Amino acid sequence: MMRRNLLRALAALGCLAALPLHAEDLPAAVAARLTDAPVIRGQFEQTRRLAGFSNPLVSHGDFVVARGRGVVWTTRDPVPSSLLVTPDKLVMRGADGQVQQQMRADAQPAMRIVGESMIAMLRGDFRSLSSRFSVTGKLVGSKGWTLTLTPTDAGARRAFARIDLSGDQYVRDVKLEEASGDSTVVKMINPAAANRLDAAEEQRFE
Amino acid sequence: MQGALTRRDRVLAIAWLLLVIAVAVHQLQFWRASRIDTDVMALLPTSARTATADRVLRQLGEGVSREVVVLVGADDWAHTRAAAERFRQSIGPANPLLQPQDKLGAFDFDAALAFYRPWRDRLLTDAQRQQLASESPDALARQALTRLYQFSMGPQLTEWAADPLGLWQQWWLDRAAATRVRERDGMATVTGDGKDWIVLTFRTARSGFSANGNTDYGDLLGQAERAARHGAGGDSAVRVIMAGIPLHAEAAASQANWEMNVIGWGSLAAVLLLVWIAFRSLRPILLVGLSLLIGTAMAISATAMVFGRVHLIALVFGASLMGVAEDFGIHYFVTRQAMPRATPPSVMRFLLPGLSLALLTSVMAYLALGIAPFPGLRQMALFSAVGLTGAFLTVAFWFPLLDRGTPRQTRLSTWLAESLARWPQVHNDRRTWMALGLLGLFIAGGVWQVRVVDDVRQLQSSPPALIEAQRTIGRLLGTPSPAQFVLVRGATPDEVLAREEAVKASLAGTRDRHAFGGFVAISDWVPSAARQRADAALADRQEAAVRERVARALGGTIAAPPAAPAGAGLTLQAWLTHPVSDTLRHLWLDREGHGYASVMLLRGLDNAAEIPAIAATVRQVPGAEWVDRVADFSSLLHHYRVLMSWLLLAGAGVVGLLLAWRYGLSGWRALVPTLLAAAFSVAVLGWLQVPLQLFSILALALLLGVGVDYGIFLLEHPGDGVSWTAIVLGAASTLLAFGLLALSSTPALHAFGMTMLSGVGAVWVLSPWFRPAAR
Repeated sequence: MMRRNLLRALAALGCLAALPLHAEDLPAAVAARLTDAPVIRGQFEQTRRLAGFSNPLVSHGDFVVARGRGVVWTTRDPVPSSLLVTPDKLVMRGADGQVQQQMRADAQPAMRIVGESMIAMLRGDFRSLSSRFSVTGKLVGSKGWTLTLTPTDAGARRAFARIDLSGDQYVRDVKLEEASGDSTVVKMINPAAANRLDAAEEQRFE
Repeated sequence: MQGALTRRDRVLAIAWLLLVIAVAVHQLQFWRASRIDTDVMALLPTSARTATADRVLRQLGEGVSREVVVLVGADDWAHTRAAAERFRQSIGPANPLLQPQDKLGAFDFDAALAFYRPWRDRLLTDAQRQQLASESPDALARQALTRLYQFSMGPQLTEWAADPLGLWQQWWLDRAAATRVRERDGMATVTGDGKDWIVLTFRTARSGFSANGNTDYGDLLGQAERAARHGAGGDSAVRVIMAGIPLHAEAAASQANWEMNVIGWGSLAAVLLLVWIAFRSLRPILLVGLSLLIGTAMAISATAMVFGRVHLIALVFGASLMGVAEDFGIHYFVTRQAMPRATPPSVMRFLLPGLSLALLTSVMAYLALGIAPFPGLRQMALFSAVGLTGAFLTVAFWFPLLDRGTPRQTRLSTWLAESLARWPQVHNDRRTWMALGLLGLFIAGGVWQVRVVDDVRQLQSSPPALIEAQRTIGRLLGTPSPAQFVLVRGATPDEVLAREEAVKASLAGTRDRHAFGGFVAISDWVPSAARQRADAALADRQEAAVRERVARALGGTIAAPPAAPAGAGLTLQAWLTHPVSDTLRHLWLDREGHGYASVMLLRGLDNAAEIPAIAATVRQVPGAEWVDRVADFSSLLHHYRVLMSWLLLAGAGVVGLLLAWRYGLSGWRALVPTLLAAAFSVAVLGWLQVPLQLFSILALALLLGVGVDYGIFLLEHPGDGVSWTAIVLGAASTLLAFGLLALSSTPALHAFGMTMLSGVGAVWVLSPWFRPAAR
């Protein structure tokens, strides 16, 4: 509680121009600014910095988020692969289309946290995460917002130290700080809303 | 005929009084201490060969003997949570009977990670070992790069360089397969049968159960179940399943309490009613009742002193003794009626030789129950023998002293005595042969349908619903059965671990076709030293190659991982002394004979048809032994059923020879009714679909002892109405007592009661039919 108040105080001091909001109102206020389209697609650039690595790892690709279905995260270069995350499973395939890793939520509920966090982050819907993270942040200008998620339960804390997000009607930037000290920055490029998946995307959700 | 009490009579009566007082004192202490067993295991024999297996069973049972497990399930997570909360609220956080346990919080995952971290490279799953051995470093490096460029998933348990292939996470996921219970929102959960379940664990405050037949735990849990199912926002889809040893013990105690009361007091009341009708006087009722009470009290005290504890099944069986031990008192009073002018002491002296002989044969028949080395049967044998003797000595020592009245004739006893003459008799005529033919058809038809069952569960009296709940919970939680396991022995702890690995390898194929789910074994948590060395060598070589190739592909440098600690690797000793082993430590038996031993449990072994193949495979691994105590006990029951059947035939032969020696050719008249009655009672079991088992055979042995007596009395005094009256009264109360025993819900006692009921009934009808012509 102390920490949350402190963060809120810092946010208020640093951004006098922006209107500080109570933490309880924030997710709702941010949700109001985000589009609620059934499908969001776009490209991404991901930069990972790993402890012990002299160079960052930069990758490009595209993604599709479908409401109620999950996420397909397709890395195009430098090493192609795809990751499918749905509410009840997680499947990673290599360039050859072969499954490299697979987990089911009913056998491994810890995976549920990973999957739900990822879907929530990309859709900007944090209500499902409020039981595992405390949320602070502010609204920026007439359309923008920034949020910081700090894990409150042991399972989430084992994965993430902190998550920073910002955006407008779409989530634009995500910064994950992992408990191990590694960090990942994802920039969404040209996100766009759609009413339904196209045939090719539909196949990738199978 | 000498009619007065002698000095010796008085001394004996006073000595008997002192003994009765001592027993009364012992009884008070016994019922206060409540040393009563309900566990089926306590009925079964143990031997040097099975001592280890029995120690394992006890060790496995100890941890859970006071645990009640409750599963609350609904169609979705939100409803499940609400229902489980209602259940917990109903019990309350500080209930004097049931204390909630937090098993999940007891496992500290971060401490476990820290414990295993130094030996990460020595811990591989079977699939990982195979993959590392078969795939090229290039292919492995490509997979590592793929993962590096993908979205970051889940917790990284180490820095990348220490585990570039991400092997450790999968190793932990494989460990988690030891149980189907998972954490969700801080609660222990399991999914199955289309529902999300929350697992609640409680610990009972009392170690024993109440002998008064109350069901305190059952009532409390039943109330909580109603709260969970119908509470605010009640939910018809909510299911609650409860299991645990305390519930079985409580159900058995309350059931046995009811049965003891019905059988014991029921047959006592019936005996006293018969005595009243036959003698129409208060004194016989009081005296016969007194002899029965003293006999029963002595039986309980003697059993408690010899065995330390008394099993419920012995008490329930013993309650039927009321219907047998009354014979002595009834004989005495029937004879008094017939000899109204003789004094009580002289009647007793006249009867004593015959009664002693009857006591001797009955005690011998009961003691024959104890031939099989089952502690339960031996308790029943001792209980019955002492009970009969106690009742007999009360009659012999006290009745002449306490019985002062003049007996009177009653209409019933006169009518009974005269009824013998009207009973049909066998002759070489058409009617007799037709009746025998019909009887033969009934016997043949029944015997044809007899099913033989040698299942140890026949001794189990738990209600079927409770057994079903136990089974469902075991299936949902994936708990291994404690009755079947692999016992692994070795000269050193490390040899035990290596042999466990050999067992797992030999059963890998069986497991892959889903004959069972997997193992719960210590070697899953502490691999043998050789396995650790081999895995570390394999992992270190491939990981170094992967690190080198990935660094080259990325065009930069990657910091070297922390050096592995030098030394012996993970030892069993380190694991046993760390809290991480808390939930599995009981599988390690430590020193066993000349070496060490451990237990491996099998999960999900639901199909009994798979067991013989698994057992055969296990036996081929040196040092490994397949233990199946259920099958052991069942084969023991089979062995003694066959043995007792032969003894029964031999006994019938001996009785036949004795009768021939005493009565010559007409001795068949005493033997044939009993043999026909035995066949008849077996046929009744067949017609009623009651399985034939060891207990039915034991009942037949008892029937041989009791039934031949009726024939002997009728041969000794042809046409004598007095002994016939005594037989009718004795048989009627015996029938009632065993008829009530047949109501028992313990299958073994039910079969015993059924066999005796039909057998004694048949002997009663058949004996006078075969009687010799009156002289």
